[in-house]
Amino acid sequence: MSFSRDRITGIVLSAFSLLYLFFSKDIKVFKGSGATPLTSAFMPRFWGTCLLILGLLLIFRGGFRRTDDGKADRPSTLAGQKKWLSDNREVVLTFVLIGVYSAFLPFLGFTISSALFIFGQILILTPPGKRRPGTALLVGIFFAVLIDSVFVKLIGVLLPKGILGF
Amino acid sequence: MSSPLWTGFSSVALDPFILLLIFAGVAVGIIFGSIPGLTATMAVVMFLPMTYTMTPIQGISTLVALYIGGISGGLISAILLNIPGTPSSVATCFDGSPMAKKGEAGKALGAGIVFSFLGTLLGVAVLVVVSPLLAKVAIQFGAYEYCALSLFSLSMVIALSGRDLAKGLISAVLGAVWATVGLAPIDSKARYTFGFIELTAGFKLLVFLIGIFAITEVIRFAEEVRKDIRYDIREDVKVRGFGFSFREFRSQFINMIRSAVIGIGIGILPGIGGGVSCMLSYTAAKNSSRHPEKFGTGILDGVVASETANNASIGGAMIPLLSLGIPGDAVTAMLLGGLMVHNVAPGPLIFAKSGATVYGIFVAMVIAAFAMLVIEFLGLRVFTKILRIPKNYLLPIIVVLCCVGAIGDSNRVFDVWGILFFGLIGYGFIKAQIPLTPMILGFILGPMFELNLRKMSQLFMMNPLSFAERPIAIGFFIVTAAVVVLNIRANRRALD
Repeated sequence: MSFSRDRITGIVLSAFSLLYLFFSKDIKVFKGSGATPLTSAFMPRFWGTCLLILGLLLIFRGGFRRTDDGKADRPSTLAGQKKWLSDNREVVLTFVLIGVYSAFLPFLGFTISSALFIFGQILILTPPGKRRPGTALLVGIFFAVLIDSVFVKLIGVLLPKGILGF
Repeated sequence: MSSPLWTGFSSVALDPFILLLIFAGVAVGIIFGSIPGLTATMAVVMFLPMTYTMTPIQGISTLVALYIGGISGGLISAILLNIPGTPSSVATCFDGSPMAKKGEAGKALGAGIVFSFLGTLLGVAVLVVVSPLLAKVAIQFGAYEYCALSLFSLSMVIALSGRDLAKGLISAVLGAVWATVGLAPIDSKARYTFGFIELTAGFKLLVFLIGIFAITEVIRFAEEVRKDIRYDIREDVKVRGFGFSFREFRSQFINMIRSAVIGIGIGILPGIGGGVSCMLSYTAAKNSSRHPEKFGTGILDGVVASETANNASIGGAMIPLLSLGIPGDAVTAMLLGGLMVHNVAPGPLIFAKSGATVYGIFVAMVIAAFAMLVIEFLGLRVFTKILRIPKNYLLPIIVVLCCVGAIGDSNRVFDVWGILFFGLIGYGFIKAQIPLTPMILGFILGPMFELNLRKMSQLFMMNPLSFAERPIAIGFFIVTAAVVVLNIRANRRALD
């Protein structure tokens, strides 16, 4: 187990819990008749405090029990970050592609954006040198049209139509 | 006759369309279970949108069939590839794969299928008997009991989900944190919506689960792309009869019963599920065997223990889901989403309000078990061929289908962003070596805990002695405290 990783996790969690606790001030509390002694802000503050304590525990644990394990993949320097990005290109691209897919769904519509998504994702998930863009495109178009036909026309599920109307 | 039992039975067993749905669901579930990386949970996620326009009993029967097929299908790749198709089949690899290497693949598969079937039936039998009784008891539950029960469930999840108590807690608390987004229970005050109308209703369970399971699975595969992993698949498998003799069946009877009891028990406990049950029953079978040294070398006992337990846990996991509204594992968490989509509210009143549907589910599970037996034996050659389907083509289609599920549930594209968000969270958890299961339970139990804690606070203010009048709640609190203390001790010992 890598304790340096624990420390990073602890820092992220602590920062998140502080933000979470900070924004709990925006929760309006109901004080009228029938109000409960524990308000709607109680649980978020309780969970936020728990998370902060646990995050600090991870930092403490990671700081005092750190081993060299996990140091290598820690992208602390610019070169390290570049290497991490290069090693995890497919992971980053997958997240980016899902983001792009979400962004374009309302404009391009389900069929076109799904065909492009399937095409792109197949290419990302295929080892370099084995990629067949033609096949990927055909699979993308075929399944996008098939899914659209089954869900929209047969089952009646409403899917985004986009500017082209499908 | 128009009792809920008969209505439930006739609506499933006498409806050819539902029977077709069950058989199709089991077949698809087996395919998902057999392909490493695709799980029963993903099968349920993917096919949930197809059930939107079905009647509740049609839709839920399909989902249950996918569940049963998905858990059982894992044995195929566990035996033939030495890779568990689902986490529920991890222990099947230990003896199933050595048996296949010794030329006994047919026997291992035959035993795996038959004992999966028997495990499912035993689990369903307990479900049918216990869930109405539990619902009867739970109908008397008030805020104190539900508060104590949700706390107990959370403590069980944390205690049994991993070796690292702190990380289990982080996962559960974060799940509860995500569930605080939206309107607060009781007074409906907006929390953490940041002006987004879409967040007013909070994150949907389905969106949360798709992100956590489906997207992280794609990401896991993306991490391995350059390794270009290939599997050596044995396709020369022949099963004669059931693959094993009646004498061998008799010799496994006690092993089967013990494993089924473990599977059902583990299934009932929230958040644990098939993965743990197969490991525990395998260990129990090994410890009580006269020849423990033979375990791992390819003996029938290991396959029987693992496969009976993981399928028996299905019935067990359905007990708290139906009677209390608390899912027993990840797939039942997804089924909870399915029940909600079909306006079936799980909990103590389910037998009173949706009795026919619940009995229909029981019948569907039994039929699905038989369907699994038939389909796996007849379609074994087809399933071994399906193992060759390239996942780089399959996963993008699954992602799109998951997005259809999310969009179709609420008719908004915003939920696709939610999927991406929870996918990122899930990936972060994997990298930080934090277990995902407690987060699911935290997400489901967090609101239940809050609602009842706040109600409890009100009751307590009105009458401080009211707590003393709730022995069940006190019992749950004591057990929870004991679980936490024992787990902290065990954790310290492990660290030392």
